[in-house]
Amino acid sequence: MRRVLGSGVVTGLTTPHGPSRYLAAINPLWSLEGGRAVVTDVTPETPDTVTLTLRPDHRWQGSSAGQHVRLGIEIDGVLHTRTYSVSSSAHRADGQFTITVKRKEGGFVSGHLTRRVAPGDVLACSEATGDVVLPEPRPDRLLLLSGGSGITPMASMLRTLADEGHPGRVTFLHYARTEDDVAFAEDLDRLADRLPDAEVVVVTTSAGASGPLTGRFSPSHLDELVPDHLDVPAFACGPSGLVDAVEDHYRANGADARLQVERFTPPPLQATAGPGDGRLTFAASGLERDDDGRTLLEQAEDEGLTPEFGCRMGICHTCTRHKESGSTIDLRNGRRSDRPDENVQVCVSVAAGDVVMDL
Amino acid sequence: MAATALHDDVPANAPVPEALPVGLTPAPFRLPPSAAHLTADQVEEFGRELDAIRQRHEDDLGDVDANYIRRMIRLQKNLEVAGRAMLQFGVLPPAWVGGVAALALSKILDNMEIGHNVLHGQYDWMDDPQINSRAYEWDIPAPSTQWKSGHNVIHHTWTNVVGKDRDVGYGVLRVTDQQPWRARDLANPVTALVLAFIFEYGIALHGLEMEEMLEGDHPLDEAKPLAAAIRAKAGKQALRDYVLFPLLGGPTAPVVLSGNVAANVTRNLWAFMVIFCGHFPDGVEMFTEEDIVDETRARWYLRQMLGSANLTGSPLFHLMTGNLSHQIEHHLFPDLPARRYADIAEEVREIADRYGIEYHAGPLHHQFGTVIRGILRLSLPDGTREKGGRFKVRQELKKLTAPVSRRVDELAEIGRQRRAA
Repeated sequence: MRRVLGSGVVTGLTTPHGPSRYLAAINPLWSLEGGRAVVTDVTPETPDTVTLTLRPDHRWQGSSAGQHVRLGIEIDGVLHTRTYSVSSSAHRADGQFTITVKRKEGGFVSGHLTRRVAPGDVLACSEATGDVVLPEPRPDRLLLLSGGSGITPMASMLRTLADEGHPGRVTFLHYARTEDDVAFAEDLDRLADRLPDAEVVVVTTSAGASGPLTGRFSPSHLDELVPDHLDVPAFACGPSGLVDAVEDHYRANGADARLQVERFTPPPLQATAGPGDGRLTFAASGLERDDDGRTLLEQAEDEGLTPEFGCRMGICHTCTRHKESGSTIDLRNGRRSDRPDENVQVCVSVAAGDVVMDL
Repeated sequence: MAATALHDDVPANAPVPEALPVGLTPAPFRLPPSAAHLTADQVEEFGRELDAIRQRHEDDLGDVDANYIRRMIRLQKNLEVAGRAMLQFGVLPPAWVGGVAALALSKILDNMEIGHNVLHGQYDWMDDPQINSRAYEWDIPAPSTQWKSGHNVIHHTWTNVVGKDRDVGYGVLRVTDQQPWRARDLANPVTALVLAFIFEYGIALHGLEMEEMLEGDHPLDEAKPLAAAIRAKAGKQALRDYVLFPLLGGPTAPVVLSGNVAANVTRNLWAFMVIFCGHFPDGVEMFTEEDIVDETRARWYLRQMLGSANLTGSPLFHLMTGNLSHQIEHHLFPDLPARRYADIAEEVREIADRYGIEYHAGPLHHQFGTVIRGILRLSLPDGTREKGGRFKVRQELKKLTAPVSRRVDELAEIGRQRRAA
């Protein structure tokens, strides 16, 4: 069916919109390109964490343990795209997968995903991507280390290994503020039972916590659990502070080749910097300069770039470009664009602090 | 349209007009005659009021707008499928009529309420991968990228500035007496009529800037890739409407073909009427390049307002015009969702009244009537309808034929010399 609809004749009959737009008029989920997923289940994990089960369409090619997806959710008419790690096993047989979302302080999208999303909702969904995955063949020994919401790819790895009946030794070390903040707590115990040689250790970091290990990550934790950890393939995932510390430790001992990391960077604080304070990076052309407070377009042109533009007064949208990171201000109304991956009209936008533009 | 000629009569340092309260000085730049009573400060305040409207609506964008445009896209697809299906049974006259109506409506929606507005970036804030000005492609021979640079950039920035706005007469018509009369303007009515029927192709060719090329302002090479893109897009459109769908009809192919032609022509005539009523009715002002020296955003607003005209009618009528019936609001806020123009119009009208600025609006038949009258009148040189006008036409025609007769004389002379030799 898909082949017929994608044929030259059907494309010719449906030009210029293409067959998918007509299919979508019948059912919003139908399209040849795919790239959607339906929420089939919402399960709370902790007071501020939920697991969403998603049924993706034909675009989905499955995932490897450790990969992530880009999900798009429409909130008040605007599509917001964020990246989430897959938390389910790579061997899940029903064609569905899960993500686990922790509500961030003031997090707009995470707040919506944890509180508003219900079964039946439709999200935009990319294929799974990411290079930090369990190696093939599986190594005899593994060290998985995570903090906070960094547990999600680790959960996927553990579940995948459990489904494979992995016989090797696996050590999972997780840092959480309190016991209550550990997602999948029950499931972790079950996984430990299913894996013949697994050890799961949860370290709580809040003051007054008890247990054999407490406090933030320290290399001594590793010395105690896996004395020869520098020889064991290791994965670390979590907030930058934790991942940096682990990485420093491995690097200092010349073992960084053993370690693969993924950072879950907390959202940047609202920049207090204003125009002229930061540094402009034109990523696509590899140019950098001190921001002089003029519009992004004028400064790009100063660097010899020739971005497309039209009216130079913000009405024609010809100069709209992708901002990778940083904050910008629209000169017409003072409106800020603070989130990464937003589009801005460069002819009427100035930087507020460091900005990286796809120019 | 004649009113604009008055501009030149107002010196830059004109004495304070009576309407202006004592103590206020007139704007240090030329204002259009119907706004000449405003001071520079008043113009800026007028601009700030419009900025405030824009801000209020920008802050309010959301679900309602997103659902609206999706609903329109769905409606357009359903109408198109229904229309094409009915035309397959077009041998039955009611099916043919119904099919043409549905298909024409679908094309009108696609071009006006959806295509034109989406390509303006009115829905770019949704970040939808399909419904945005960079991705959308419409059911018309003009490729969207070419149209956007000609329309969004040139027409909307330089609106009604004769010599800059290429939409003033689209390079083929004389629509204001600020365009000097040329002999070819005698064909004004015929050109307009032909353009109305093939409007979709007119829009596509307009993007080629042929006028500029013929006058040597543009190298011919630049046009080649543009022409190739138009050929490719127009070819696909024609293949669909004039080959593939008729072939689907088998023995009824000619009926399907005639229905598709009728739908395209209906859309062309309707779009022509609506669009010509946007800037060419009586009273709408044209501007010179001097008028826009050091133009501020507020003066740009003023020019958009005085250079556009609205059409009055029912909500359904507004939808069928893609809300271009709210041409004034569209020109003030080209990238706000058009479904908001009706509400915005009430606020804009109130502001216009308060500042004593003309707000051009009228029903379609009246506005289009003045457009037609203008096209007829402007086909003749200025002043030909006054006393002695006929003599003037003869003079103009003589000027026209003079080079030709000179050439004939020369050829005759050459012939005489040859014979003598």
